[in-house]
Amino acid sequence: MMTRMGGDLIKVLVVDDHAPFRAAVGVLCMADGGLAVVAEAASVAEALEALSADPDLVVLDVNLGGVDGVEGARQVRALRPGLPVVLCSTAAPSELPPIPDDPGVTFVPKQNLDAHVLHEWFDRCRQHPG
Amino acid sequence: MTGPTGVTGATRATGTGWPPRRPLTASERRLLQMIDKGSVDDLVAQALLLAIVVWVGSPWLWVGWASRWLALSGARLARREILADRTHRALFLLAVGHGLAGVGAVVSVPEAAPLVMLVMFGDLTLAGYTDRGARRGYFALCLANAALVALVSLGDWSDVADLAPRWLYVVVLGAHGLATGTVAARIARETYTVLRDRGDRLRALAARARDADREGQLDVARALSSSTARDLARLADLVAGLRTEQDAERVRAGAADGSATAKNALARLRALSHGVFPDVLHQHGLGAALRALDHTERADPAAPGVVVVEDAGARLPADVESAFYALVVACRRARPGARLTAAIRERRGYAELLLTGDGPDGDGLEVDDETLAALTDRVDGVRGTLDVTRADGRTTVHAAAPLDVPPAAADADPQAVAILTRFISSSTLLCALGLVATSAVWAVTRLVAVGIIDAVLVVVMASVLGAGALERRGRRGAALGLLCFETAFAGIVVSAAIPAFAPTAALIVMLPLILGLPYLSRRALEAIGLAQTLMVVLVICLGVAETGLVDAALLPQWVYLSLLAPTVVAVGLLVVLALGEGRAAVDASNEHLQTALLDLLKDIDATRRGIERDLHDGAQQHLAALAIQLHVAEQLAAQVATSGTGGSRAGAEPVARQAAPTPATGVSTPWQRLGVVLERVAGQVEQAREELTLLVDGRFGETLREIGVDEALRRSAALARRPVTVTAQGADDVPAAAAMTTYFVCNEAVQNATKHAGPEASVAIDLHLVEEPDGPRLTFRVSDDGQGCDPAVLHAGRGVAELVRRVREAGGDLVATSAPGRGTALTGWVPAGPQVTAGTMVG
Repeated sequence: MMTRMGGDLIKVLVVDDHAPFRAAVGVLCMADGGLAVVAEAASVAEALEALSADPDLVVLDVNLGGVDGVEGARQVRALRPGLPVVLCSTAAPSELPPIPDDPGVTFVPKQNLDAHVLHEWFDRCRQHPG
Repeated sequence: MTGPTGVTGATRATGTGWPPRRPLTASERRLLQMIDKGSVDDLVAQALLLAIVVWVGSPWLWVGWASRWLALSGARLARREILADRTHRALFLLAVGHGLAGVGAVVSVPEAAPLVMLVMFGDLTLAGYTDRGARRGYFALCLANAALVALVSLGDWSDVADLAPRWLYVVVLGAHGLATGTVAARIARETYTVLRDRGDRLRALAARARDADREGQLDVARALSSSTARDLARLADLVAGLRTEQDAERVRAGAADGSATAKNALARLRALSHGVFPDVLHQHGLGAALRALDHTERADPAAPGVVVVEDAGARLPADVESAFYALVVACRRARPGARLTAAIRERRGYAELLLTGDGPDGDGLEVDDETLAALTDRVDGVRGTLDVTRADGRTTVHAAAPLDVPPAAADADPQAVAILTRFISSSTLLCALGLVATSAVWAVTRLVAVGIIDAVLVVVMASVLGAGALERRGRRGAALGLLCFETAFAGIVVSAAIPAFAPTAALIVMLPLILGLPYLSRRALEAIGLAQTLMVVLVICLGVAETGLVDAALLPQWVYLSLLAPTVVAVGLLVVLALGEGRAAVDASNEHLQTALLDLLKDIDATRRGIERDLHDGAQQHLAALAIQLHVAEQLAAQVATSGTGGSRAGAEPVARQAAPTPATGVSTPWQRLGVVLERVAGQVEQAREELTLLVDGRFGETLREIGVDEALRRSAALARRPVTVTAQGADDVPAAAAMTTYFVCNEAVQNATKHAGPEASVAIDLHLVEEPDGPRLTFRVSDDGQGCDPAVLHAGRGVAELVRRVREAGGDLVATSAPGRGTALTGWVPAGPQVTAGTMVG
């Protein structure tokens, strides 16, 4: 049901300074079969380097040490305009810096993240790029 | 004022009612009271003086009388300035008024000079009301006033002494002296009292802040252990059950339940850590945090929250933001249904928060006195003021706190600043100079009066040196006493010898009072103040009565001037020294306390933020990851259940045994993947539990140790819904981990008793430190006299098992016993030796 018929795996880059979350996204992708974590990063700087792994989707924590995820999303989108970004956090959006008004960036509460959300956002960005 | 031109909050005219006018601060109200009272007294005095002026008929008296009106006008203008929020100008107006009236007074009655100068020196003590930057100018103005009065009094213009009857002269001047001396002493005393009260208050504030912080930390620790730890225990049980489950549909339902449990636990934890310290406040400032309050702290999204109509934009100092935030949260808590409007501003070096409420009945702000006191403390802690005013049925809370960073406090104990020593050495030097000068004059003139002053100076110098010796031995009271005697003696003899010196002698008599202000208790000050004031009157009367040994008219003018001018200057210097140094000492002491308090509040905030970070980075992340993975497990189980691929076959074996040794992605079946997921989840739940125990012990253990586990239990017992008695022996000083375990287990046991023992039950907690061969143990017993239960029922639930687990983790043991009708008892122990602490922390 989640495996993309005839499609390639969606390559995911996970950016979070918390290992449990990165591991959870790994489990989520492993179980789904249509998603694969190709790179992990603990900061925005590492994430920008990890873009060389050519991910199809970035899962980005907002509360990162140093440059925060919102700024990180801006930088990722500037480097790879077509790359969909899913921002997530355990905090409510009202407690976070404003989520960029960018059609390629969305916000999901961390605890509600699942394969369905990632697939949906990937598909939507592919259908309505930019 | 400018009409509806789409103004933003920042430019909104004050005439529209928002933002409301800033209420007067407490010190401004005190100043107004002082002016109003002074004005009434002055009007009465003017009426009496008018009668005397008319009777005596001297034109010089008319000058003096008219000049007093100028002082009254100055006071009226000052009043207006205070009301127009320009208090810094008011003090200057008052001082200028005093200067004009003073000159008028000494023109008509030169003997009044010392009294008038007392007023100038009294003005000096009000410097605390002026802006810090303007203080030097204010000091200069007051001293210039005093110098002008001294100079003018040297020219003997007035004919009043000849026109007025002698008795009237004595009575008026005596009464005036008494009134002025009392007022000056009262102003000086009140200023010092305000300063010293502030010191006491700062000390109390620090103690209360520390206490409240400890209580708050224990609350958090309790909540973590009883709520989050329980959630995690429940998840651990649930996952363990799922791993041995063979039916895919049941695994699906269980995993869904687990995911929801993790999400709920996360929500509770988020609310808890938000209460500890709102991260948004640190990250994005007060305005953002108040706006976020609208969404995060509100269960019902339709309920009104905080509307921020005006935001300074720039970040305020962190401690001010934190104090203001606490203020808003407390006001919201006081009236949950109210809609609050907040304005954050920066003005003249102050950060301001204006808060008004619109409730269902027109007023949303009802802050009870206890909350108000706590909030005043909180704002006071950041050197701010808090005012609550009610007008037109609307309450306004106004808080203001300075933006500048306070100077670093001096390390030395400010009370030890040697004002008295410095005063004594200055006096010795001035006496020595005076002695040389008068001896020289006496050698030339051989005048009796000069000889008397010479002799007085010898006595004074001896007393001052004696006072210095006493001070060095730490006998400050005796030193002050000796100075009191010495100045009174000098004043009386000098004014008796040379009546023209009476005004200056009066000032000398007042010196010890001013000097003693920073040191003496309020009662001692009152006693000395009364005695010294009487001395002043006596000295003045002696001078006026001209019962002197020497008639000033007999002294050559150059002798007279060469003695009087340096004396006035010397005495003035000593007064300023005593006032300035005394103030500086108390100020320094207060600044020291204030900085210490600010540091403490910063520490508390840092600790709270640390706890918030720990929770955010630890348990919250684990719970979010668990929610995700349990949801994955739920979906995998649903796949297995519906697709039937391997559902029935794999269902024959528990999930756990299906776990693939290498979690490859492409090849494994959903059932195998489910096994891998559940294995990871189980591992993560264990990790989360261990981290939480470490966090609670590490973060809060030391706090608990400081309070003492028995005292902490007594405090939580006070909140229980059943009578709880705590008896303890040796339990107040045990290692943090032992204290923490005991604290939680006993609290949980009391909770259980509250739930199950019946409404009539009471609970007893017994703590004992006992020596065992393998080291000291803290034993505890929590027993109730309630209805009890079957031991099997007692052990069936998770509650007791969880407590046993917690105690065994700490290296101790716990036994629960109960029987129907015979109550329930939990008896256990934990190791309390110092070496065990490290062991349990690592384990």
